[in-house]
Amino acid sequence: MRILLKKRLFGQFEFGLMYGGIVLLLLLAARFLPLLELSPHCIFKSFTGLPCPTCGVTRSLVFLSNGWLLRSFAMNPLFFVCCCLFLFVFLYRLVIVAFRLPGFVVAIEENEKDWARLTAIVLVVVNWIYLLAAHS
Amino acid sequence: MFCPHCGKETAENQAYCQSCGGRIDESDLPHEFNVTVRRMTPWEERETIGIVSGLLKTVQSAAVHPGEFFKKMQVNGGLTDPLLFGLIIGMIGVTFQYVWQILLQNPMQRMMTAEMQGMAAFDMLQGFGIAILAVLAPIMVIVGIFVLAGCLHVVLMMVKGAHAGFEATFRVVAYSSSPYLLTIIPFCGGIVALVWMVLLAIIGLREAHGTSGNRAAFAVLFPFIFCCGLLVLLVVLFFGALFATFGALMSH
Repeated sequence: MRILLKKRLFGQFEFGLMYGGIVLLLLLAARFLPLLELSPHCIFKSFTGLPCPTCGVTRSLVFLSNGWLLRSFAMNPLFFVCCCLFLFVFLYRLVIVAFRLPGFVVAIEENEKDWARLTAIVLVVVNWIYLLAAHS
Repeated sequence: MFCPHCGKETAENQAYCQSCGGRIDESDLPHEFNVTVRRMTPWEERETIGIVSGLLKTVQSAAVHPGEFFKKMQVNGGLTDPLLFGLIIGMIGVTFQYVWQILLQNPMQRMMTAEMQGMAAFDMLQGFGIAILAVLAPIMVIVGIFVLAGCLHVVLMMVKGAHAGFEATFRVVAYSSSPYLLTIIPFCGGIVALVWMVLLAIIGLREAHGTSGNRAAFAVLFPFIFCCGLLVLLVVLFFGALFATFGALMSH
């Protein structure tokens, strides 16, 4: 894995701003709209009786939007961490674009990609095991 | 020569991509991906052939001959053109959905139970709720394309199927929205369009990334099966709640 410091290219699309902005929009919606009252039943849970890997995401979002960090983390830890990561990237890229600064880019070698995939799968599985234990 | 990680064009003798920093090695790419000559879609040539002609030809090619269309579709060149295509198709589809909602409002509400009619989500069928829906629809379409492309690309990366970068996935998602025009047909049009779009997305990912059909199918179907919460939450629930609330506010 290499961390490169690169200048932003002219016209380069800002994925960090786009996806971070979507998360920010979701947080605003969760803060001001009655999302929990309108939540549909999970199809996976209604079929199997078990929480799906994304169970608790809505509640986690609502708690996070209200500033209840621990409750949000407890609802779905992986989603909470991802949300925080997206928000950090959003703010980071905002500064990069606004002040035209060079930004850090993480480049992963081909042989390291398998480890990255494995890590991601393990994280999802561990998170799901936690949800099975907490929400069943 | 294109970077196998981000899809951006690179110089011939570069060891690493100047755009994403990934290692460039032609052995990373499937043989099919290297030999296919890719070109712009009719929509991207609309300045030459006309907007309407470009739109219709793209819809026809993508929906009727998806294998050939996505095999020849270029996987770089910017997100603006495919996003604009997806937005136009999405807005046409949404417009027809609104028309049917307005025309069939009374029969639909008679079919609902009293409890369903009392729910806030159904207030959007009344009064100014539809007008607010129309104003927010473009945002819904754009965010929907980005969220869907992001989800599909992450799953495709997990199964080692993402050979051509995010832009290829984004283009597949945008152009595979072509059957959404079927919402012109009330009731069954939307269901047929959804199934057709899923099939196009699978074929599109397979051809655009030069990956196997199984991996492409897994990338498309996995979020539906195991991560319904994410998709529902990010696309339907947020906008449904937003629209419903606006509808409820406006109708009181």
